[in-house]
Amino acid sequence: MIRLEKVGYRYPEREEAVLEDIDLSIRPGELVAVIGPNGSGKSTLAKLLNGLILPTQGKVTVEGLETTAGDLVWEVRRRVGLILQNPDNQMVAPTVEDDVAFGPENLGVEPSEIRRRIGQALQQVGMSEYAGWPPNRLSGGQKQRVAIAGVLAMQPNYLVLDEATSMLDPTGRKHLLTIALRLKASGVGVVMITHHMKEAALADRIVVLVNGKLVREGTPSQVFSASEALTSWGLATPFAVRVTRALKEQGRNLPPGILTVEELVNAICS
Amino acid sequence: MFKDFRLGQYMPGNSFIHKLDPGTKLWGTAVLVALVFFPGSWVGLLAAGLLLMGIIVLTGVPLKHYLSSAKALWPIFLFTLVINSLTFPGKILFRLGPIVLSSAGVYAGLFMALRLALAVLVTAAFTFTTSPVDLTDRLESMFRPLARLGFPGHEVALMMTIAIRFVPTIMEEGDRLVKALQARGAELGRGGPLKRARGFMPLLIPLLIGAFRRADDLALAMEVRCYRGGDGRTRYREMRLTPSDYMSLVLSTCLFLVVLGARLFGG
Repeated sequence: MIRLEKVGYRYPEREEAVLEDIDLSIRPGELVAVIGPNGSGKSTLAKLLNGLILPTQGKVTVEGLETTAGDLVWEVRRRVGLILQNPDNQMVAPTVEDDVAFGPENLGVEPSEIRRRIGQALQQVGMSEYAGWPPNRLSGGQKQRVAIAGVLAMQPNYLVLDEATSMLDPTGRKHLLTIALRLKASGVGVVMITHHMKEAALADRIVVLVNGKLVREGTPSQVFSASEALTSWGLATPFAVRVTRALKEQGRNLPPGILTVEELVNAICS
Repeated sequence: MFKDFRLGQYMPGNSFIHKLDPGTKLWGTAVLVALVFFPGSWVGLLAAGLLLMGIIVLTGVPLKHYLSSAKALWPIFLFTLVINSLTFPGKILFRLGPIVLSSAGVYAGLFMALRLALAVLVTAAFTFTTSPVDLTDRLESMFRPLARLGFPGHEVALMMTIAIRFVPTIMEEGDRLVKALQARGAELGRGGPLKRARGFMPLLIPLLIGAFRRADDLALAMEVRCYRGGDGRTRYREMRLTPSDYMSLVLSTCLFLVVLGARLFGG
């Protein structure tokens, strides 16, 4: 479990805190979406989860390991993989397989074991045929899948996607979400920081950050039911939720908890 | 404008030469260059040339690629020929005021130009058959003994790897910038050299800023994947010398010793 207790973060030269009093825990096999307007501290939260930055207040622990404790930070980073937004800037090596090898190489894993992990990780993200390819011949979505494989090769228990889909086309985005859901099913805890409410609707739990404070936490239907509050924070509810509400106002009888277009279609047609 | 650029000249293949270890090929290249430059006679040069032809055939890379790599350097060959022809003392063939052309000069010039051309072909055979990735890996392991002397072998190899990785990406970005500038009426690559150079300024600045931004992201991505320098790091590509490597190394070393001996003790 990743646990944040009363966590705050303030950049050295700044007066104002980026994050304040965050209490949050993420369990294995759970998909947590983090939403919030620009500048709400989402990316800072992502960097706190694996010790890239250390909290200036409170503490972050990953399976009991505190992120502040010296050399342990490497073990924390192995356990909590992070995928960044820009697909172009995360690949270190000139070929896909060399890039996937980069993490395990840094951990000092045996060459034969690294080869096994490359095969496995590329298979998990559906990129096995691209092992020898250079990154500039891959699409954005494929590059992000390689980035995920690179993290998976380190056998993490948690995966943090920091707006990893925001620069992708719809197909690339869909692939990435499928992979995230599959990883979650295999017991990896996934934290998805996103602008897309449609993606957030797939989560088990949504956390809303506004101005560095955790203002709401709950299942997607709980969070999206408070649409006035969301609107006041500059966030929209998903399309399907809005349509459902409008239909209900017109007197249609629809079941509660509709979040996706698919569910809406099924409810209307049944 | 950047589209046709290829970093290095690597042409993937499956030939005997392709499969040799990059270190073996590096030594072989050095020996061949020595073979081209040591002999003082046409016979020696011809023998080196024939050996080189054999190796070029072995690489399986079409001959036209070799020719085009040699063709690119023709001004240098011509320069060598002209300078040698005009400065070498000997029987005078032709005289025009202060310009003196001697037969020995033409002879020496041709010899030198041929040497250079062969040397270019040697290095072409190396770059055509060696993937830059394998080469940096081999260089890293070759540099390792120097670490004790404070030579940052791992860092140099990593820098080369990252350069190989990002050159095509930055080229593509340059291409996009050129198109964006042209779409707004910029006339790149027109006018005199000064005007042309000035035209590239609006290209250079965004390219540089972009590169710095990338470097920032990349550093973060490396930290995320537990990068902490070369200590305790393993490499998944195991560099192992095969019997054909040993054979090639022994052969090329013998050749080198023979040619060196011939050079030192007459012949």
